[in-house]
Amino acid sequence: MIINHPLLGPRDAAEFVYLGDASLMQRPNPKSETAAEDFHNYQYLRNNPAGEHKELWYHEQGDRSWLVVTRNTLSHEITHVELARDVARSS
Amino acid sequence: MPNLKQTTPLDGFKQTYNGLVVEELSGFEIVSIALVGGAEKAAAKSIKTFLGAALPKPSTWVSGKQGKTIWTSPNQYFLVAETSNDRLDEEFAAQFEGQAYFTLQTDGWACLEVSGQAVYEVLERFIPLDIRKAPIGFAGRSTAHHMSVLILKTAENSFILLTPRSSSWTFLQALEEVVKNVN
Amino acid sequence: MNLIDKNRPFNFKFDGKALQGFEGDTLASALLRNKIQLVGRSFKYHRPRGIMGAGSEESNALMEIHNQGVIEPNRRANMIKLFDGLDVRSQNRMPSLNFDVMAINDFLSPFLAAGFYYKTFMWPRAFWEKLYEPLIRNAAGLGRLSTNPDPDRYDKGFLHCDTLIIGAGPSGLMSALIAGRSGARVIIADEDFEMGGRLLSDPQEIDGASGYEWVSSTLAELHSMPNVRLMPRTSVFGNYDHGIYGALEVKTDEINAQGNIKGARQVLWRIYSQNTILAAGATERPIAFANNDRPGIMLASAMRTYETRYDIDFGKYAILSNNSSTDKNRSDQTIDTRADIWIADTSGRKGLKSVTLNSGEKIATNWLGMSGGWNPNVHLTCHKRGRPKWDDVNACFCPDPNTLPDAMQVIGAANGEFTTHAAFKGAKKACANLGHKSGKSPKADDAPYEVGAFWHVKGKKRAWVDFQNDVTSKDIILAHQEGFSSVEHVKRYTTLGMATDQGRTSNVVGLAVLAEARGDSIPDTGTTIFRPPYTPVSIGAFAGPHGGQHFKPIRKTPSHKFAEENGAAFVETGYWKRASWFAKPGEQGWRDSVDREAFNTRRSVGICDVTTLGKIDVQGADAGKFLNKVYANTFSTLKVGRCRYGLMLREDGMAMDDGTCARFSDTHYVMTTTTANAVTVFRHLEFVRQCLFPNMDIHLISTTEQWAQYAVAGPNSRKLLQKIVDPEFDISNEEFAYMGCQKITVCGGTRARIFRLSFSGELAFEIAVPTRYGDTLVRKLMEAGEEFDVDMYGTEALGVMRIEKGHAAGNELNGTTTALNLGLGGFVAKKKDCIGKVLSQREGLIGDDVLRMVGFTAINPNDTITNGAHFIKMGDPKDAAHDQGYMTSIAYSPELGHFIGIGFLKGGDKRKGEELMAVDFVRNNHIKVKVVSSHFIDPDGERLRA
Repeated sequence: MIINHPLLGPRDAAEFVYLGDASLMQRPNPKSETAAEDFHNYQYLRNNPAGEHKELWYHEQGDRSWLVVTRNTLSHEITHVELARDVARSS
Repeated sequence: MPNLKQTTPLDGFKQTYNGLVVEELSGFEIVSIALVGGAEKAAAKSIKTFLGAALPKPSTWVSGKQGKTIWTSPNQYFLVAETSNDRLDEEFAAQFEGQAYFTLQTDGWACLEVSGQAVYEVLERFIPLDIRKAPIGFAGRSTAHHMSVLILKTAENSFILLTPRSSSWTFLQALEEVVKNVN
Repeated sequence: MNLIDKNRPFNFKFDGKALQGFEGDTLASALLRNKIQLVGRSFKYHRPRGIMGAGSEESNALMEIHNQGVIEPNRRANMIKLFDGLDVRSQNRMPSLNFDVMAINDFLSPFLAAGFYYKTFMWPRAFWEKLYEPLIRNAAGLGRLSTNPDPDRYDKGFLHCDTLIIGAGPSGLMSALIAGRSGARVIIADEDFEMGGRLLSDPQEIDGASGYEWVSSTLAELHSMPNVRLMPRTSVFGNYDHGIYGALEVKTDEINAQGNIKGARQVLWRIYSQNTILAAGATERPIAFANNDRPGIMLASAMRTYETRYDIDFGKYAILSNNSSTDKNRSDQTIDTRADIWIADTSGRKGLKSVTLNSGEKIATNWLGMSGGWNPNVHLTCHKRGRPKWDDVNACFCPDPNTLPDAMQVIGAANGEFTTHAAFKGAKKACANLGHKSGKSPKADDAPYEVGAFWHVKGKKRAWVDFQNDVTSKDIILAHQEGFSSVEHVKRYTTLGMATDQGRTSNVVGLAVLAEARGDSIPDTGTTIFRPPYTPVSIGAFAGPHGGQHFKPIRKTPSHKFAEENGAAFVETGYWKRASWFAKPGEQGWRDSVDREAFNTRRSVGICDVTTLGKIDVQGADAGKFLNKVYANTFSTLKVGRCRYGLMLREDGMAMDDGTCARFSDTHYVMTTTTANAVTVFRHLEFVRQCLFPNMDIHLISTTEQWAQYAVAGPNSRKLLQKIVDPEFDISNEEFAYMGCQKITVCGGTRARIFRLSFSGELAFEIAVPTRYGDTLVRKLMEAGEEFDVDMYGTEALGVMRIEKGHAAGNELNGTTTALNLGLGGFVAKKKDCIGKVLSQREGLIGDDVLRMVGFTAINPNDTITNGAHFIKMGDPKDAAHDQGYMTSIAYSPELGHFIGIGFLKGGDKRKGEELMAVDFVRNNHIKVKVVSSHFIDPDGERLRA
């Protein structure tokens, strides 16, 4: 697969390490009253879409950026790639 | 004067093959530069004055008064300074306090220059990047045979390859295997 | 016109017989030139077989290439470019091609029909392993492996282009010309060593001159373009995601048995393309009729290729055809099924003698060209789960324009357009779609392709469909009768299309036979899925140069050379080679060395290279805040000039890694990790930095390689270091207390850092210098330590000492243990959040009964404690239900003189003194142990603080 890095252009997926669902960026509030359940869901529950999936890739053999990649799990088409940092800052 | 003898990662390796010269480069220092969060613009400006060149954009390196500056990561750069001073990072830290953070990186890397007519034929077996299309001034980090490489295009048929020191002998042997395979 | 150079003869051997061929020949054409018809024996029935095709679709002529005991099996004779000295043997026959004892199978054929092995070899059960399996193994397969090491070199590479053109026939060459002329970066690949496709085989005129001339001048122009890369003998075998293609380039067929051949034999290319033009042509298919597999029965197009390109004279011969493509054969008689004539039977077991028509007429002939029509080579349009579309007019499958892979266009015969004129037109159109304009196409053959579907002749005798796997039309009908009617079942039940030719000539015919048996149309019967590779790719090519010592990189420590000089035995930790012990002359085994190293360090002083432990430089205004998030304990309160042990948790509360962190300024920390986890911890930290706390001013960079670091441990460690550390730096106990860190210089001004840390439990320091000084420093340290009987110690002694001290390490941080299990529950700061804090409090992970790390000694001091043993209360059954915990680390303690162990025990912190069974079923070693503190040596840490 090719991941179109927003700063570096197209790079082979072999340069990256896959982590998982981009929902991992939404770490729950540890002070919340429902923290125990929130963290359990955060850690263990996932949607498993047959279709568009937002996921986290780490450019380990490149610039060490974390990226949020929108990829179709059926066709592998990648429609959107952004710096995770930008996504994290805007949310 | 330091009393301890130094060794370079590849013992000054130099070899000529059919259409290719591979040579270890040394006698420089590599310092990493990380711009202070929130102060990136001001930092970039003062470092630009110091370097005599604007900090490079992604996938590029630039030449300046101190040497080459390479973009490595968002708001992070490598300066390859033409000097032999293993305290360069501490000097910069003092000079640019509040603007950027520095670490010494020289000893973490081995540096090879590969040049000659056969350079593309060889490197296309080694590194997946499109280095033919890349312009002079290109800098990129990628893989080479399960190892890390930072490649700079310095002239039409000439590249500098940086690779982590501890696996640099494997890297060199791998490069030699590629040269043998191409022949 | 032909492509044979009679001025350059080659000598070769076939089954030991010396023969001659020429430059330009394949092995197949050279055999035909020498009038050899019998070249192989079929897979199941061992029937005599001859060459069937002229390209990679070949089913029968599989050969072994031999050279000095090295064998490359299953090579198609038509894909071997003849060279001087080629030594080939036929396959699958015993003792010879001419007399094969296994031909008995042919006479047992009624018992060997499709699926026979599902119905036989069942009784008696005792025969399965001892008789049936060896028998079947011996009979199975086609070629043999020599089991000698492969002497050839293989390589891999990466290519980038705008347009990848797959196939260099008329449509591919024209595309390359147009795209190349417009300046695009083009790669044109063809599996043949000569480019030109069917222009080399079917005599025709292009713009009034011969097709050969057009090919010649086109190739000359393409070679002159620096933006065009021509790749003959390169098979594009797979279409992957995002314009990535796999291609195998064969450089030579010569085996490098003598080591004198330069370069790689095969290169596996990963091609990154912006767009693709598939001009892969089409493959002719046979017709299934009784005994249609005799040597001498070939595909009609192959005969044209041999006649034209290879200058072979077949003499008088007949053609069986259902279409117009065979008009160009130099045959004497055409049996046209469209005129209701076909072949009912043939004769000539070891070479065709005659064919008998349905009318009864017998025709004497030694060669028969058969053409059942053409199949576009659609494979690469289907590798991403596309399926082809049935074309009734042309009686073939064509690419489905609705399911083509991204940015792929299909032209020429691959798209069901079978004339040269259509090929040129397709090329022009495809290039225009890419923005490349072109002038008028040259005038070329435009006679329309006409075909009347005719698949097989029904009858009692076997009619072959899949020649390589010996599958007949009877097998397919039988499969359907037995209920295996879906195309996927028929494939697996009969093995139709599963041989090395992957059904190139057989799939569609087989499908037609099945459709008829089912009473369905061909499109309704469907196809199986095409998967890469399109043609076989050797495993050696997939491995490329990554074999032997090049299988993975080696990372060497700064003291590696010194260690080699001093008898080190090395262990691999990830890619690192670490010295596990240093054998001295006279030492018999590893225990001698390890016991000595540990004992000597505790008695005097020892030096260990600890460079491999990850070092991460952490800087920023929010550095302390960041570390508080990633570590369970607090780091913002760490004073400058001090170090602290840190425990890092995963978000699920499990311990992930541990290390020490030193603070050099308000904004500067240096963190260490374990060797094995350096990469994963860095990745994790970057995740926390970029994804969870993107607004913190925090920067990370690895400095593992930047600093050579040595542990100097033992009662004399300070004295040794005082000889190395420059006098202006005071490392006395008063000025440099336990867990301190300093920037210093050594040996007269060399930059260094010193950390007062101890993994061994002795008075100890770690000293770091830029790696350029690493080799020299270790030698200086050893020199300075001579008066103290200093020894290097390796990872084994390091392990012994940390176990004696009761430090948790990788064995204990096994991914299922929490801070509480490790006895570090107090480390998890109560007042702050950290990664892992919330989930570490889950009810299953806390409480009195959870596993706790404790120490163990054997009640009988002569017993060996074994690792992995499980603890069972005395008298309890030794089973999982009574499992109380398990041993994680064991060592022989030289200082104590007996074995010790560390492990996890339920509620272990409150069970000290208890006696238990340590049960080990793997080594059959059950012993009695006593629960003790895991701090076997210096529990009060007096040595540390000396």
